[in-house]
Amino acid sequence: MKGALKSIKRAPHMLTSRVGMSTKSNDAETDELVRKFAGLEDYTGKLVKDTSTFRDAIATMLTSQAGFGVAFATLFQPINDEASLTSKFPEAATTLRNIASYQELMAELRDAIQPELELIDSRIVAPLKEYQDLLKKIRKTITKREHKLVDYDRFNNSYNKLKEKKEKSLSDEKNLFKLEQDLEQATSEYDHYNSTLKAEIPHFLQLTTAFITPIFQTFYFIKVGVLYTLLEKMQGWGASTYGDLSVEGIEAMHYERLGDTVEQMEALTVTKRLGPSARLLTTHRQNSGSDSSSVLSRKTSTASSYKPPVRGAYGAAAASTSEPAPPAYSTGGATPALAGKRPAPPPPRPKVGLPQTQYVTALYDYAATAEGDLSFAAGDRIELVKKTESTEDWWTGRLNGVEGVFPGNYVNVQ
Amino acid sequence: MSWNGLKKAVNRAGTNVMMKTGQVERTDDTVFKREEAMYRTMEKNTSALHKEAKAYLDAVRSVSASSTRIATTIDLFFGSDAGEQAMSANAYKRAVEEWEGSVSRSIDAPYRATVLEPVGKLCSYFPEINNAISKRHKKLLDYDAARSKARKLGEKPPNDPSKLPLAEQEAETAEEIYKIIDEQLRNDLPQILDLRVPYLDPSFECMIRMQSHFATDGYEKLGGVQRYFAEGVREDYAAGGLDAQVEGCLQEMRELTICGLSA
Repeated sequence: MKGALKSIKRAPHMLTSRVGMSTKSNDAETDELVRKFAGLEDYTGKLVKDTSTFRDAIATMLTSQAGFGVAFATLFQPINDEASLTSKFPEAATTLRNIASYQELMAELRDAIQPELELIDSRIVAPLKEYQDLLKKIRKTITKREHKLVDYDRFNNSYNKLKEKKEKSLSDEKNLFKLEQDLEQATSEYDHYNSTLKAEIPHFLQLTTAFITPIFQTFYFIKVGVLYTLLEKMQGWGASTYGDLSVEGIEAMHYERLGDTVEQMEALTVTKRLGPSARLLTTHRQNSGSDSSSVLSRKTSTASSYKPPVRGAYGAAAASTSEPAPPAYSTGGATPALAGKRPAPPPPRPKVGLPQTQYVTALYDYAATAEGDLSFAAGDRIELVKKTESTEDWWTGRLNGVEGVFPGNYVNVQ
Repeated sequence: MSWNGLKKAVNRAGTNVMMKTGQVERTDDTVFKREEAMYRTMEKNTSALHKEAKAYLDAVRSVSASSTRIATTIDLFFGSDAGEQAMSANAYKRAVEEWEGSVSRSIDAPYRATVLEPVGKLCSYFPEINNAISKRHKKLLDYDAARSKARKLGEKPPNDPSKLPLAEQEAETAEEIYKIIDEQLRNDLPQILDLRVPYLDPSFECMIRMQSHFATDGYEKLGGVQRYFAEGVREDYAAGGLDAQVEGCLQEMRELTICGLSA
């Protein structure tokens, strides 16, 4: 109630000072300190929020990777009475062998890191919130100082106005005396708050630095600790199975290993929208025609055309790598579809031992002078079989199916 | 629902009731039910996989983004201070920024391409498959209903002789359409079930690699910041000395007049 009364009394002055009718005093030094203080309030709010976000994000990361492990493990187990997957899909044997322990590892990681995250709460967020409470208290003191300043200005203005009045009535004289007292009180109150703030905020700022340093260091060690636990467990588990766990060229590896699986999937009728029944009927009748055994033959043909993707076969793999990444999935396979959104994935690494064939162009005619020489005419493109550092040497090449040596300075290397 | 669709739905509901009361013979469908159950397991777990994969990516992004924001704020706390602490905060900020860049470069996009999107693509087939399964079920009902109608007419010839051939013809068509969808599903469901293994297999190793890279990269980038700390900070952290410092500062702050004036 008292507060409400005060704010009503202060309102007229706030209004007049805003429109410039009455003077408003200020203290540059305090204002600067208050500005710095407002910065702290802002930072602390952000820090509390982001630290909580960070903690939650780590927690989500752990639970989602554990969930990923569970779902993946279920998918890679025989469903119901399915035959053993390892014998059916030898190319996925590594995954099939490791998926169960991966699932365990993920659960283990989640349980191992959870206590670390609680440290964020007790050692970072809790002290920060306490600090925030202190900031609120100081903010109240600052507000109080501002109110006292308003009071001071208010009484000061009225006092001066009355003092300068030429003809003072009796009540004016009385008021003048009262205002003088009021002004005196307001001045001393304002001075008290103002000087306290001026004296203590710098100290508080220093304390803040002293306070935030260990908070920062604690946060740092918790975070590095979490990362280290992750790293140690992942490396310890994965390095023995997968060797080098780098992410270099991972997209190309994925693309290559996927083979034609996507095409096989796209080829299935069931992955496409089923048309209306009438159309199904017509197309079916057209396809089968008079052939009554069509049902049977179709079944066998589709069954035999379905082969599990071969990715162990090197012939196929090499063919797909030596060519500059043909977009095999014209229907929108994973990799080409992405090409528009971001830089194209790195081209597949060329297989060791399968260097690209190099061609050279003949600059002059050359007729064989000895057995084993390769003859050619200027402009012929010769497949290079073997070359040496120097062009003043005999190189080996192949032209029209004939292999032979020729002088290196007779050709132009592209 | 269209008027025709409504009529169909009402008729099928009627057939269901008649089947329960034994007036319409139901085709034995246990073989397909088994196939369907297997597909359902796959559908459920693949969808769960997709959800978790997405959550993982979001979490990784959030970890790296919030780390950067925290580092920036801590740096601001020190302001234009040039002391040892301010230097370490600044070093930390730079390290975290570098890490964020590396996460978005070497994890974000490759993860989407090799894990999230392949799983999502598999999931995108499910609505069509479900659609086909429910269509098959409806057509089976229709076929059962039409067949039993034709049989009844055959047993008890009606007054109108044209009715029987019409019903028989209807039963035949119903059978044909059911068989088309049925054959498709019986042929394709086991295949898609089988394909899940070779299709998802490459994503698994990619996931492991990226999880490992996330931790390794982060540790490598951030671990070096310790150099900027005063000696013994690590031991202090382990022994709880840092907590004592924090508590000490808070206590000193509480004793300030400006913190108590308003109380």
